[in-house]
Amino acid sequence: MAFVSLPTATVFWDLLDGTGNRAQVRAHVPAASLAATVLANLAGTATVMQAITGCTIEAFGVSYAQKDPVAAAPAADSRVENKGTFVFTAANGLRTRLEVPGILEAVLTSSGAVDLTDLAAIAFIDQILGGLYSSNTGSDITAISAAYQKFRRSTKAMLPSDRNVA
Amino acid sequence: MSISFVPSYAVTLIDSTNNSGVTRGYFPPDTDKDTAFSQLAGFVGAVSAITGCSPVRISVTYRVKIDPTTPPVEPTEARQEGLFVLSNEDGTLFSVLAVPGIRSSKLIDDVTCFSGININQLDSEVAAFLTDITGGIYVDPFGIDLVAIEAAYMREVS
Repeated sequence: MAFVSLPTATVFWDLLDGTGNRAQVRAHVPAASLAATVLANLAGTATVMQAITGCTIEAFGVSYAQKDPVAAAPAADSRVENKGTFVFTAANGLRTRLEVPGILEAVLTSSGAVDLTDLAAIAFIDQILGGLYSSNTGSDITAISAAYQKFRRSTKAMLPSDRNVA
Repeated sequence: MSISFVPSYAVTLIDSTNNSGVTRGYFPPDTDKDTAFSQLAGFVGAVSAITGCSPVRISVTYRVKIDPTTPPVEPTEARQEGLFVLSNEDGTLFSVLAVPGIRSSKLIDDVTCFSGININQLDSEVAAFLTDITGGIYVDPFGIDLVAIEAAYMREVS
């Protein structure tokens, strides 16, 4: 894995019009720009943008991205519909959920629970518990409370392209 | 007054059928992007080991909610979109910035064939917006400064 930064970060403003429809304005800033600097600029632009649009500007933000141009090939039988759901407890006592597409059968027990004795599963959970991850309220993730397999319904695009027999 | 959300991350995974899935989570407030990406470097290794999918893209997003919001001064639909064609510092490429819900009062209103279509760049609020874009931190998708407006007009999107 060799992730490289894209040349720009994407900035956005979320708009709401009088009919209740939402839309987004998207632009770019240099990828090296600090988030605090970018957000201060976006706030300023939101003010002048508000003056020319009939929409209400509800939010804005910046998204930095990196891509792996030489990503390894996925495993032959991998399917994103086969999800692993990890439920963690945060320091504030609330729970937060992390869903991982394409969970391997090898890290599951026969019941569909994640095998918490599997070394790869242990390493993944340790990565979350020992890392800088938080819940959506910013509370530190402190413990695992559940881990299991969950299937997502396949969309038409996910069905095999060679599924038709006649 | 604005409300800052905690930074969020997204890791895009591709499976053997070339379909993608995304796993999302959060970082504590004030986590800078370099720290976030160094965390994600460890995350993608761990997530690769428990999935058969290949991580191809990682991102970190900072989002701010405006509160209270400013109501619009005239009703407009988002599908009435203002398109601003901008040239970059090299003068080699154009970028298009689409602003939904452009106010009708910002369109040229005269007897020319462009009446009701072209955006009035002499309008003080339009000019202020263009100055902010071309004089600010904004760049084209290749990272080259946007410096000048080439055209500005309205289109209706369905």
